[in-house]
Amino acid sequence: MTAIIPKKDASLPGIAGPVPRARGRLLLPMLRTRSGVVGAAILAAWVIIALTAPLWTQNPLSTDALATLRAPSAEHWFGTDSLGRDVFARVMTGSSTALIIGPAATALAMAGGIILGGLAGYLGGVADEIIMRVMDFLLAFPALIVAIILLGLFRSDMATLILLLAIFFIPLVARTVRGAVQAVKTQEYVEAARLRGESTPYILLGEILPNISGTLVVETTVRLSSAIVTSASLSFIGLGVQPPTPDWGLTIATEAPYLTIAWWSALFPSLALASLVIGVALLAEGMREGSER
Amino acid sequence: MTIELSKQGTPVTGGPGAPTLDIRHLTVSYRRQGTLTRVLDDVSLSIAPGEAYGLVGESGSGKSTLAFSTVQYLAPNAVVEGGEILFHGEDMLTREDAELRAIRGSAIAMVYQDPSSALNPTMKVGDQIAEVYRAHDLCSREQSVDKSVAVLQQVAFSEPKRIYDRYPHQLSGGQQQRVVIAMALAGNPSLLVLDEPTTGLDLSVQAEVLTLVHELHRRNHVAMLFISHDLATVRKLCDRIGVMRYGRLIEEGEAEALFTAPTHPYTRGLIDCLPREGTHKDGVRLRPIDEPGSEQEAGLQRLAVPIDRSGVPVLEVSGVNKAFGSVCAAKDIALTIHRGEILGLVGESGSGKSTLGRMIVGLESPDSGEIRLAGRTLARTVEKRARTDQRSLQMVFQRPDTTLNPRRRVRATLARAISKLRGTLSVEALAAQVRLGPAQLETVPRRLSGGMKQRVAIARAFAGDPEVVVCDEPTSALDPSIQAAILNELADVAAARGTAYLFISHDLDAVRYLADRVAVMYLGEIVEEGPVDEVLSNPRHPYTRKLLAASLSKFSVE
Repeated sequence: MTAIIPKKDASLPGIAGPVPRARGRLLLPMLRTRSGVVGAAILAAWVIIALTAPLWTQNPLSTDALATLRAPSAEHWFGTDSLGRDVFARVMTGSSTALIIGPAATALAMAGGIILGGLAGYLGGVADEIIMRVMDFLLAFPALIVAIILLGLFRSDMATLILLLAIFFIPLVARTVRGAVQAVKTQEYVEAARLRGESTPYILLGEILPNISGTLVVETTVRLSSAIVTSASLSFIGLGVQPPTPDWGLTIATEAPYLTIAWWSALFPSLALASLVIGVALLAEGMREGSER
Repeated sequence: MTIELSKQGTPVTGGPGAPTLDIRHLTVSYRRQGTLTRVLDDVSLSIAPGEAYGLVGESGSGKSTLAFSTVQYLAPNAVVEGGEILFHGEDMLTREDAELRAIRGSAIAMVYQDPSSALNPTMKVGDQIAEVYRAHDLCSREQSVDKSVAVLQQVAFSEPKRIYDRYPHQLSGGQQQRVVIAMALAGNPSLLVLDEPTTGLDLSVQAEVLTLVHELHRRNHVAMLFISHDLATVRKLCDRIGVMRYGRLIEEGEAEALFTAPTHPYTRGLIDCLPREGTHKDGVRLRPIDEPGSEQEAGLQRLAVPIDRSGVPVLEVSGVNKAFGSVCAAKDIALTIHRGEILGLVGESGSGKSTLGRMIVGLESPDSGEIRLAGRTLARTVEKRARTDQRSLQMVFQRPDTTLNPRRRVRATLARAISKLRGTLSVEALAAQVRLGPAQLETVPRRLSGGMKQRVAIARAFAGDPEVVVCDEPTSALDPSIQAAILNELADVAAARGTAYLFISHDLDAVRYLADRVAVMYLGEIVEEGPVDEVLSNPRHPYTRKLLAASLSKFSVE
């Protein structure tokens, strides 16, 4: 049994030496928990699949009118769909739209939310009132219904979808960031920065943001999983990605009617979607747990 | 420093009968990432029935761990490696949970440091006390209410029935702590464990609570384990004192004997390190414990800074008012500080002294009035002030834990301050002025002790050669031995540079040591101001007298 008995106060010179371990602390917490490791593995697998799928799957768009709704076999691992396309190829390549829309929308939402929430939280007063009332206004609309109307009015391509999702998530991110900033801005090191005449952007980016990074990381993962689900939902009701793109939500929608006679063509994309969302959720859980340790 | 182990292992069984609490060779470690760090190392002590035992030590010395181990309330990662805790002859370490629950709160009662977190904010305080009676005595509702009122009266509430119906937030900190003590008494304990019960309270309230504890102890004849970092308080209150350091009980003895003839150098250091009446910065240096070179330097005299009171004062505050809603934090405040002068600002929490300091540096904006730096009128908030004014007015904050950006190494913190405040010194030279070595420069704040962090904070404030530094209770969160070092540091830097301070503190001894003049603040007003010796030895205003009396009753021994 090893026991360390502190001999001297750490304040004495020579005891508190340089610390090389400070780096990589941001990434480590999630890998300290089992759910974090599992989540990271699932996510990594999907990213690799999305990047390499076209190299090793059949053409996800080639139809075969003679081989519709075939059950899973050695040739078609996940069977074929109502147009005779290979479901395995479509599920694998479909991961790329999910992994573009979700992360892109999340990144935009985080950027917007951090700027707006950060300013509202740090400046307070009138700026806070104006920013947060606008956010409340955005939040007051039911997201899906507005999306249906807007996507119905305008052309629905991937860029519009990403932008729309980002706009819906910005108020949520801004609220979280504002709360976190408010807790940190009264810390004495922030006041010391004000006293030496630092600019507001420097205080936000240099003093406050690094100290709320834990909150930001968790917020990102939470938004990511809900962005993936929302974009799939929009595709499902035909407002997201348009056919014949092998998007999961879209595939589930077109193949759902055949569920009773050919379960595979809708089930596998559903499982794929679920596994991605669960992977992100596990990662979020792992980060939260890990950072609390 | 080598740690001498004093003679231990022979618990004093004072008087007839067995001791109430007998801790034998207790060794406790905390497990962190696979390694065990020892926090209590072979500690033995015993408390006789009705005896008051004081346990003194710095933060991290293991005194709170000892307190919590008596009721088996240790953290989940604590490992008891050996020893036993005998309470009335029975080992607490081998008790079942149900037995422990029955003992906690009745046979052994604890009073914690922060009364506001010890009380349930959604329950009337009287009901909380009545709950103890119902849980332990199984008496009826009416009986428990009557008993609660009686015990509230016992803790010096003149109208116990009215206090009964109050919620915790409707009581002051001192009143809350009295309620917690009443709750502790409700279980009719034979051992009362008090863990720094006055640390979070104001000076005058501290005296009130300590007097109450003293009286209750005498009247109820309970054994008492009183934990504190303040040797003087313990001396007054306790029969015997134990001194802890690094998890070991290094010295133990009768209170007076220990105080007048300490055998361990650390104990002597604890007694000697704090400023006392008659010591002033211009005469003697304080003697911090364990500081390299302090023995040699202790003999050195610090040169007095000449104060020129004829010219334009470096800082002038006139007619400043500030209100937060209906609360008046500053009322027509006028102050002047000359170059090289240290003005002490005393008063209890809520008197507005911190707000005044923050208005001077521009963190708060006054409702009206003027603040002038060397004759120039300053803008109300720091963001609107000229760069030279920002550079000339700096602040040292109260809490070492939040004063430095945890994500930044000390070198980066100081380098940024130097570049932003247009300092001329290198980071190394600046650090050396507050005795920070190259090792600390490459460290993140988390790895520094409270005293070291506060040194960095002082260095940061002096990065651009300021003319006035506002020190807002810079030593109040530190252990006594470190307080001495920081007071030395502040005095040395001021003497070397001729900087003026506004030194805000509730510690009259620190003010007496450091300040040239003192202003007393009460309810947002400055009620008295003058040379420090005059005001503190011959107070005119009744409030100053009250503050001084509270301070004396806490520190002096009759």
